[in-house]
Amino acid sequence: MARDIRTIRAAALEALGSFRFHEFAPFAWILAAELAVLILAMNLGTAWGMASAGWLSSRLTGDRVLHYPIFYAFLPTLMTNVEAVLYAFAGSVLIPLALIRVLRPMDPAAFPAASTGARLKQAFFTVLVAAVLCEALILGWQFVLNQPAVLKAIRAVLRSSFASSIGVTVLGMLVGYALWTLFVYIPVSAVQPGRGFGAAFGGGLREGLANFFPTYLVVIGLSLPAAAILLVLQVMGSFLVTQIRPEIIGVLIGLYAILSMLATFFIYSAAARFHQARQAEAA
Amino acid sequence: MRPRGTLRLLLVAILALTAGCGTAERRAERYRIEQAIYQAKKAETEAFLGRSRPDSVGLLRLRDGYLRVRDAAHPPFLKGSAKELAVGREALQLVAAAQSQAARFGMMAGRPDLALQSAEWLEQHAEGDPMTMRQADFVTAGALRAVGKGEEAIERMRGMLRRYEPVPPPPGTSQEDEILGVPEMMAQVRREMGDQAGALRELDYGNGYYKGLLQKPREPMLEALIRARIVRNDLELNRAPEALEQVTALEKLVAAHPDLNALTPELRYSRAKIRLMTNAADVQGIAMLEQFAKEYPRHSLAPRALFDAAVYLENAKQFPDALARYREVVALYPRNLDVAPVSLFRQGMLEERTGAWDAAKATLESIPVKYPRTQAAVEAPFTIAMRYYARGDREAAKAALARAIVVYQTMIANDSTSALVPVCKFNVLRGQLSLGQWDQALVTVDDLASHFPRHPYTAQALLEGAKVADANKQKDRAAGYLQQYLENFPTSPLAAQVRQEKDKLMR
Repeated sequence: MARDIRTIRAAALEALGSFRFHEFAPFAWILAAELAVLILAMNLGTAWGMASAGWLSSRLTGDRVLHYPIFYAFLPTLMTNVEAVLYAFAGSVLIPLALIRVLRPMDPAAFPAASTGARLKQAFFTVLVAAVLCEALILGWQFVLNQPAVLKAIRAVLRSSFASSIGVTVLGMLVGYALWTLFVYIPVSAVQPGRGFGAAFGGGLREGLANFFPTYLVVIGLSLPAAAILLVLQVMGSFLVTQIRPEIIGVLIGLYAILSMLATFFIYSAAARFHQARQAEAA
Repeated sequence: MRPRGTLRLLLVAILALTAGCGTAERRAERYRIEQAIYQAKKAETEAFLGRSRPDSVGLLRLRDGYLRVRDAAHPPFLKGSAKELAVGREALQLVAAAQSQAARFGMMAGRPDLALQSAEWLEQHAEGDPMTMRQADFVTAGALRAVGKGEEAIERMRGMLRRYEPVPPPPGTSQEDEILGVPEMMAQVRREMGDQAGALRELDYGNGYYKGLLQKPREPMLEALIRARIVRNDLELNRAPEALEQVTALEKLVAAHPDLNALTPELRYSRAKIRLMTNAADVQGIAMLEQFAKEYPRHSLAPRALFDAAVYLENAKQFPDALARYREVVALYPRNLDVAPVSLFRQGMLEERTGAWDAAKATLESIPVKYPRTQAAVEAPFTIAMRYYARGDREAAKAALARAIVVYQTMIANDSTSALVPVCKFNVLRGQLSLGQWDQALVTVDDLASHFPRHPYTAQALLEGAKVADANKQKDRAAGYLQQYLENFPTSPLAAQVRQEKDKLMR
C-alpha cells in the first residue's frame, strides 16, 4: 500500500510537472463549452442569452427560474447538468483523446498516431457507459443524502444548522469523489490496444477497486481547490444571491469550472501514468 | 451537394436558435427590469440601514434608482403572441410598481409634483392594463393628497371605486385588495382637512359602495372581507344594529366556509365593540377587547382593541387601568401611527387628570418628537399651554405657547408638504394671537392665504386676521382679508355676514 501511494504520488507530481497544453486541449474544449454556457447564462438580460441559456434552464425547471436574482440560485444546478452532459457525451471522445496524448510519449508503439481514430471509436462506448453509470450513482447518493431523515440525523450530530450544512456538503463531496475514483481507470483501460467493452470496463473497474485508497488520496488532493469553491457555493449560495451580489455566483462557478477541469485532467493523467508504471512493473 | 447540405444544417440551426426569440426578447426585458429593481431596492435597503432617515437629496437619489427601471424597458409591452403578452404584462406591472416606489420617494422628499409626474407616465404607458391604471390612480390620489388638493384626491378615489372591481384574495389567504381600503382613505383625507363630519360622510358613502358590491355574488373570502369593512365602518359610525346584522351574516359565512376562519378574530373584536356601543360601561365587553389583544397580539386590530379598551376604561373612570392600557399600546405598538400617538396623548391627559402634572407635561412634550407627522403632535404643544391656563398659571402658559410656536415652526420646516402644515400654521396663528404678537400673526394669515387659499383653516385665519388688522387700524388690509374670504369661500354660511363687515370697513 505504501509503495502504491508513493508510486501514484510520483505519477501525480509528474502529471503536474510535465503539463503540456496539447494533452490538456481536449479538456479545454469541454471547459470552453462550459464557460460559453456560463457567459450566456450571465447575460440573460439579452435576447441571445435568454434564447440559449434561458431556454436550457426553462427546459429543466420551467419559466419560474428566469427571474433576477433567483436565477443565480439556480445557476449551479444548470451548470452541474451542463457539466454532466458534456462529460458524458463529449467527454467520451475527448477524455480518451487526452489520455492517448498523455500515454503516447510513454509508449509510442502501443499508441501510434495513425490508430487514434480507431482507438477513440473503441473507447467511446465503454467511457460513455462508465460516465453515465458514475453520474447515476452520484445522483443516487445525492438523493439519499438529501432525504429528510438523513439530514435530520446529520443535524442532530452537528447541532448548528451552519455546521450541518457544511457537514452535508463535505460528506456529499467525499462520497461523490469516492464513487468517481472507482471509475477513473475505465477510460485508461478503454484506450489500451485491443480492449473490448467487457475487458475495458471490467479491467478499469478492477483497477479502480485495487488501487482505490491511493487513487482516492490523489483525487482528493488535486480536487481540494475546486472543492473549496464548491463548498462556498453550496453553503453560502443563497446568502451570496440575496445579501451580497448574485453575480458572484457566476464568477465562483467559472473559477470552479477551471479548477475542476484542471484537477480532472491531472487526475486522469496521474491515473494513466500510474497504470503504465504498474504495467511496466508487471512486465 | 456538400455546400448545400451545410447550408441546410446552418438554416436548421438558426431556426432552432431563433424559435421563440420574441418571447426570449420579452423575457430578457423582464429580466433587465428585475435587475434594475434589485439595484434600486438594494440602494434603498442600504440607505435605511443607518439610524437616521436619508435627507431629501438621498431620497431623490433613491427615486432615481426606481426611475431608471424605465430605461430597461421598451414599451409597448402588450403585443405579440399570448406568451409574449403574458411576459409583457408582468414586465409592465414591474415597471408600474417601480414607478409607484419612485413616486413614494418623491413624496417623502417633499416633492409631490415629482410623484404626479410618475403617475402621469404610468397613465400614458398603462396600455389599458387595469392593474397599471389602478396603480397610476393610487399614485395620483396620494400625490394630490400630499400637495393639499384633498378634494381632487377624493374625487379621484371616488372614480377609482367606480372603475375598478375588487380582486379576490389569492387562494388560501385573506389578503385584502387595496381598492377596498379606498373609502377609509377618503375619510382619512377629510380628517386631515379638519372635516370630521365629512369623514363620517365618506364612511357612509363607503358603506353604500360595499353594499353595492354585495349585490353581485362574490367569492366567499371577498364577500367576507367586504362585510368586515362594512362592520368596521358601522362601528365608526356608531351604528350598532347595522354592525350586528353584518357580524351575524359574517359568522354564517365563516361557519359555511371553514377556510374563512382567519376572520374569526375580527368577529370577536366586532362583537366586543358592538356590546360596548350599546353599553359603554360593559365590563365584559372591555374584558373581551383585552382578551382579544392578548390572544392575537399580532392581529392588525390588536392595537386598536387595546386602545379601545383603554378609552372605555377611562370613560368608566377606571383611571389606573386605563393608564396602564394606554402605556401598553405605546410600549407594544410604538410604530402603529393610528393608535400609538393618540394613546400617548390620552396618557398625558390622564396623567394630568390624576395629578401627575410633571409626568403629563413630559408625555405631551414627547409626542412631537416621537410622532412628528401626526394629529397628536399638532394637539400636544397647545394642550400643554391650555392646561397651564386651566391651572391658573398664566406666565407658564405664555412660556408654553411660545414653545408651542417654535415646535410648530420646526414641524413645518421638517416636512413642509405634510397635510398637517395648514393646521400647524393655524396653531401658530392662535399662539401669536394669544401672545399679542399682532404683526407676526398677520404675516401668518398672509402665509396661510397664499399657500392654502381654500383650506378650511384659512377661512378661520382670514376672519381672525381681519379682526386683528381692524383693531390695529389697518382697515384696507382687514377688508382685503374679508374679500379673499368671500372669493374663496362663497358658499360659506357666514358669507352674508362677512360681506356686511367688509362693506362697513370700506365705508
